[in-house]
Amino acid sequence: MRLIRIINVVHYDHRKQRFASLAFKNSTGGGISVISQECILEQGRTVCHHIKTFYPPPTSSEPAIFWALEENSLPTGYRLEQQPSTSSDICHYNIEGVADKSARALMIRCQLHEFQICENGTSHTLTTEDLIS
Amino acid sequence: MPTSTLEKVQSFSKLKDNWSFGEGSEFNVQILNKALQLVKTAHALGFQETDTFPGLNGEIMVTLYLGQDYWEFTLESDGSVIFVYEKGEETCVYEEGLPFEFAISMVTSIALQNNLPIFGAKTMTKVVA
Repeated sequence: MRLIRIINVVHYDHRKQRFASLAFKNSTGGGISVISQECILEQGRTVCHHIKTFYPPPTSSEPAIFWALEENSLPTGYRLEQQPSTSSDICHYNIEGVADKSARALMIRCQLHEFQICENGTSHTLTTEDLIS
Repeated sequence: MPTSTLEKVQSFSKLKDNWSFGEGSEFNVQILNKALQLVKTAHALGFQETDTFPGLNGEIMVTLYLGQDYWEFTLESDGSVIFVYEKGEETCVYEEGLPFEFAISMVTSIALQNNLPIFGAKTMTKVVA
Protein backbone atom coordinates (compact mmCIF):
# COMPACT_ATOMS: atom_id res chain seq x y z
CA MET A 1 0.00 0.00 0.00
CA ARG A 2 1.21 3.51 -0.75
CA LEU A 3 0.73 5.92 2.12
CA ILE A 4 0.40 9.69 2.05
CA ARG A 5 1.87 11.75 4.86
CA ILE A 6 0.92 15.43 4.86
CA ILE A 7 3.96 17.60 5.54
CA ASN A 8 3.94 21.18 6.80
CA VAL A 9 6.44 23.56 5.19
CA VAL A 10 7.33 24.89 8.67
CA HIS A 11 9.26 21.68 9.23
CA TYR A 12 11.73 22.35 6.42
CA ASP A 13 15.26 22.87 7.74
CA HIS A 14 16.97 25.16 5.22
CA ARG A 15 20.42 24.64 6.77
CA LYS A 16 20.24 20.83 6.54
CA GLN A 17 18.16 20.98 3.34
CA ARG A 18 15.70 18.40 4.59
CA PHE A 19 12.51 18.13 6.60
CA ALA A 20 12.95 17.91 10.36
CA SER A 21 12.01 14.66 12.06
CA LEU A 22 9.03 16.41 13.67
CA ALA A 23 7.26 16.01 10.32
CA PHE A 24 7.08 12.23 10.87
CA LYS A 25 6.83 11.52 14.56
CA ASN A 26 4.39 9.62 16.75
CA SER A 27 1.50 11.63 18.16
CA THR A 28 1.05 11.80 21.92
CA GLY A 29 -1.82 9.32 21.64
CA GLY A 30 0.42 7.02 19.60
CA GLY A 31 0.86 6.48 15.92
CA ILE A 32 1.70 8.51 12.85
CA SER A 33 -1.20 9.80 10.80
CA VAL A 34 -1.26 8.78 7.09
CA ILE A 35 -3.78 8.34 4.28
CA SER A 36 -4.09 5.44 1.84
CA GLN A 37 -3.43 6.66 -1.69
CA GLU A 38 -5.33 3.70 -3.14
CA CYS A 39 -8.38 4.64 -1.10
CA ILE A 40 -8.14 8.27 -2.25
CA LEU A 41 -8.05 7.20 -5.88
CA GLU A 42 -11.02 4.86 -5.32
CA GLN A 43 -12.98 7.89 -4.14
CA GLY A 44 -12.28 9.52 -7.52
CA ARG A 45 -10.15 12.29 -6.05
CA THR A 46 -6.61 13.53 -6.44
CA VAL A 47 -4.44 13.56 -3.34
CA CYS A 48 -4.53 17.37 -3.29
CA HIS A 49 -8.32 17.47 -3.56
CA HIS A 50 -8.56 14.90 -0.77
CA ILE A 51 -6.26 16.93 1.50
CA LYS A 52 -8.23 20.09 0.77
CA THR A 53 -11.50 18.29 1.58
CA PHE A 54 -10.51 16.55 4.82
CA TYR A 55 -7.42 18.40 6.07
CA PRO A 56 -7.82 22.05 5.10
CA PRO A 57 -4.80 24.22 5.85
CA PRO A 58 -5.15 26.94 8.50
CA THR A 59 -4.82 29.60 5.80
CA SER A 60 -6.00 29.26 2.23
CA SER A 61 -2.61 30.39 0.92
CA GLU A 62 -0.74 27.57 2.61
CA PRO A 63 0.13 24.87 0.07
CA ALA A 64 -0.02 21.25 1.17
CA ILE A 65 3.11 19.19 0.75
CA PHE A 66 2.90 15.43 0.90
CA TRP A 67 5.21 12.47 1.01
CA ALA A 68 4.10 9.25 -0.70
CA LEU A 69 5.85 6.38 1.01
CA GLU A 70 5.60 2.69 0.30
CA GLU A 71 4.33 0.57 3.16
CA ASN A 72 7.25 -1.83 2.67
CA SER A 73 9.70 0.99 3.48
CA LEU A 74 8.43 1.03 7.09
CA PRO A 75 10.58 -0.62 9.77
CA THR A 76 9.84 -4.17 10.88
CA GLY A 77 7.14 -4.40 13.51
CA TYR A 78 4.88 -1.63 12.24
CA ARG A 79 1.08 -1.98 12.16
CA LEU A 80 -1.42 -0.06 10.08
CA GLU A 81 -4.63 0.72 11.96
CA GLN A 82 -7.50 2.08 9.88
CA GLN A 83 -9.15 4.83 11.87
CA PRO A 84 -11.35 7.52 10.32
CA SER A 85 -9.98 10.98 11.01
CA THR A 86 -11.89 13.50 13.10
CA SER A 87 -12.93 14.98 9.75
CA SER A 88 -14.47 11.56 8.86
CA ASP A 89 -11.86 10.56 6.30
CA ILE A 90 -12.30 6.80 5.85
CA CYS A 91 -8.94 6.61 4.05
CA HIS A 92 -7.09 7.62 7.21
CA TYR A 93 -4.73 5.20 8.97
CA ASN A 94 -2.35 5.36 11.91
CA ILE A 95 1.07 3.76 11.64
CA GLU A 96 1.65 2.09 14.99
CA GLY A 97 4.66 0.32 16.42
CA VAL A 98 7.37 2.51 14.90
CA ALA A 99 9.72 4.10 17.43
CA ASP A 100 10.42 7.83 17.04
CA LYS A 101 14.08 7.02 16.44
CA SER A 102 13.19 4.78 13.48
CA ALA A 103 10.65 7.27 12.13
CA ARG A 104 13.31 9.98 12.33
CA ALA A 105 15.81 7.88 10.39
CA LEU A 106 13.22 7.37 7.64
CA MET A 107 12.25 11.04 7.47
CA ILE A 108 15.66 12.69 7.44
CA ARG A 109 17.04 10.63 4.59
CA CYS A 110 14.23 11.68 2.25
CA GLN A 111 15.33 13.78 -0.68
CA LEU A 112 13.37 16.81 -1.84
CA HIS A 113 12.22 15.08 -5.03
CA GLU A 114 10.36 12.50 -2.92
CA PHE A 115 7.83 15.14 -1.91
CA GLN A 116 4.97 16.69 -3.87
CA ILE A 117 3.41 20.10 -3.42
CA CYS A 118 -0.20 20.91 -4.28
CA GLU A 119 -1.01 23.71 -6.66
CA ASN A 120 -4.42 24.37 -8.20
CA GLY A 121 -5.74 20.91 -7.39
CA THR A 122 -2.82 18.98 -8.85
CA SER A 123 0.71 18.44 -7.59
CA HIS A 124 4.29 18.67 -8.76
CA THR A 125 7.62 17.58 -7.38
CA LEU A 126 8.80 19.84 -4.58
CA THR A 127 11.72 22.11 -5.46
CA THR A 128 13.85 24.52 -3.45
CA GLU A 129 12.06 27.38 -5.23
CA ASP A 130 8.77 26.22 -3.69
CA LEU A 131 10.35 26.46 -0.25
CA ILE A 132 11.80 29.94 -0.73
CA SER A 133 8.54 31.58 -1.76
CA MET B 1 23.20 38.80 17.75
CA PRO B 2 20.90 36.33 16.00
CA THR B 3 17.37 37.12 17.15
CA SER B 4 15.27 35.43 14.49
CA THR B 5 15.25 32.05 16.26
CA LEU B 6 13.95 33.73 19.41
CA GLU B 7 11.24 35.46 17.42
CA LYS B 8 10.35 32.16 15.80
CA VAL B 9 9.92 30.48 19.19
CA GLN B 10 7.74 33.37 20.34
CA SER B 11 5.60 33.00 17.21
CA PHE B 12 4.69 29.43 18.22
CA SER B 13 2.55 30.84 21.03
CA LYS B 14 0.10 32.03 18.36
CA LEU B 15 -0.50 28.53 16.98
CA LYS B 16 -3.89 27.12 17.91
CA ASP B 17 -5.12 23.53 18.05
CA ASN B 18 -5.13 21.81 14.64
CA TRP B 19 -2.67 24.35 13.23
CA SER B 20 -1.22 21.87 10.76
CA PHE B 21 -3.73 20.22 8.42
CA GLY B 22 -5.86 18.87 11.25
CA GLU B 23 -2.90 18.05 13.53
CA GLY B 24 -1.00 20.18 16.01
CA SER B 25 -1.54 21.20 19.62
CA GLU B 26 -1.14 24.56 21.31
CA PHE B 27 2.17 25.16 23.08
CA ASN B 28 2.24 25.53 26.84
CA VAL B 29 4.09 28.41 28.45
CA GLN B 30 6.61 26.14 30.21
CA ILE B 31 7.83 24.59 26.94
CA LEU B 32 7.96 27.99 25.23
CA ASN B 33 10.00 29.42 28.11
CA LYS B 34 12.39 26.46 28.12
CA ALA B 35 12.92 26.81 24.36
CA LEU B 36 13.60 30.53 24.79
CA GLN B 37 16.04 29.79 27.61
CA LEU B 38 17.89 27.23 25.48
CA VAL B 39 18.15 29.53 22.47
CA LYS B 40 19.29 32.48 24.61
CA THR B 41 21.91 30.25 26.23
CA ALA B 42 23.16 29.10 22.83
CA HIS B 43 23.40 32.67 21.57
CA ALA B 44 25.16 33.85 24.72
CA LEU B 45 27.66 31.00 24.34
CA GLY B 46 28.52 32.06 20.81
CA PHE B 47 26.34 29.94 18.53
CA GLN B 48 25.59 31.97 15.42
CA GLU B 49 23.51 29.43 13.51
CA THR B 50 20.40 28.22 15.32
CA ASP B 51 16.86 27.30 14.33
CA THR B 52 13.67 26.04 15.90
CA PHE B 53 10.66 24.01 14.75
CA PRO B 54 7.19 23.48 16.24
CA GLY B 55 6.16 19.89 16.93
CA LEU B 56 2.66 18.59 16.37
CA ASN B 57 2.29 17.41 20.00
CA GLY B 58 3.29 20.66 21.67
CA GLU B 59 7.01 19.88 21.62
CA ILE B 60 9.65 22.34 20.36
CA MET B 61 12.86 21.44 18.56
CA VAL B 62 15.91 23.71 18.90
CA THR B 63 18.80 23.08 16.51
CA LEU B 64 22.41 24.30 16.51
CA TYR B 65 24.79 24.25 13.55
CA LEU B 66 28.54 24.57 13.40
CA GLY B 67 30.19 23.53 10.14
CA GLN B 68 29.40 19.84 9.64
CA ASP B 69 28.25 19.46 13.24
CA TYR B 70 24.57 19.51 14.12
CA TRP B 71 22.88 19.28 17.52
CA GLU B 72 19.16 18.82 18.00
CA PHE B 73 17.19 19.22 21.24
CA THR B 74 13.51 18.32 21.22
CA LEU B 75 11.76 19.67 24.30
CA GLU B 76 8.87 17.25 24.76
CA SER B 77 5.58 18.37 26.25
CA ASP B 78 6.18 16.04 29.26
CA GLY B 79 9.32 18.02 30.11
CA SER B 80 11.83 15.45 28.84
CA VAL B 81 14.37 16.10 26.09
CA ILE B 82 15.47 14.13 23.03
CA PHE B 83 19.07 14.88 22.08
CA VAL B 84 20.64 14.16 18.70
CA TYR B 85 24.12 14.83 17.42
CA GLU B 86 25.02 14.48 13.75
CA LYS B 87 28.36 14.81 12.04
CA GLY B 88 27.63 15.53 8.40
CA GLU B 89 25.01 13.02 7.29
CA GLU B 90 25.71 10.56 10.10
CA THR B 91 23.61 10.41 13.26
CA CYS B 92 26.17 9.75 16.01
CA VAL B 93 24.00 10.16 19.11
CA TYR B 94 20.26 9.75 19.75
CA GLU B 95 19.12 9.87 23.38
CA GLU B 96 15.56 10.12 24.72
CA GLY B 97 14.14 10.92 28.16
CA LEU B 98 16.81 13.39 29.24
CA PRO B 99 16.16 16.23 31.71
CA PHE B 100 16.08 19.85 30.51
CA GLU B 101 19.16 20.63 32.61
CA PHE B 102 21.06 18.21 30.36
CA ALA B 103 20.27 20.38 27.35
CA ILE B 104 21.62 23.52 29.02
CA SER B 105 24.80 21.79 30.22
CA MET B 106 25.30 20.12 26.82
CA VAL B 107 25.08 23.45 24.97
CA THR B 108 27.62 24.90 27.41
CA SER B 109 29.91 21.91 26.97
CA ILE B 110 29.69 22.06 23.15
CA ALA B 111 30.50 25.78 23.18
CA LEU B 112 33.55 25.25 25.38
CA GLN B 113 34.76 22.27 23.32
CA ASN B 114 34.49 24.31 20.14
CA ASN B 115 36.10 27.39 21.69
CA LEU B 116 33.16 29.60 20.75
CA PRO B 117 33.40 33.32 21.60
CA ILE B 118 31.33 33.21 24.81
CA PHE B 119 29.46 36.52 25.33
CA GLY B 120 31.42 37.76 22.32
CA ALA B 121 34.78 37.25 24.05
CA LYS B 122 37.37 34.87 22.61
CA THR B 123 38.60 33.54 25.96
CA MET B 124 37.12 32.84 29.38
CA THR B 125 39.70 35.27 30.83
CA LYS B 126 38.00 38.13 28.97
CA VAL B 127 34.56 36.88 30.08
CA VAL B 128 35.67 36.88 33.74
CA ALA B 129 37.42 40.23 33.35
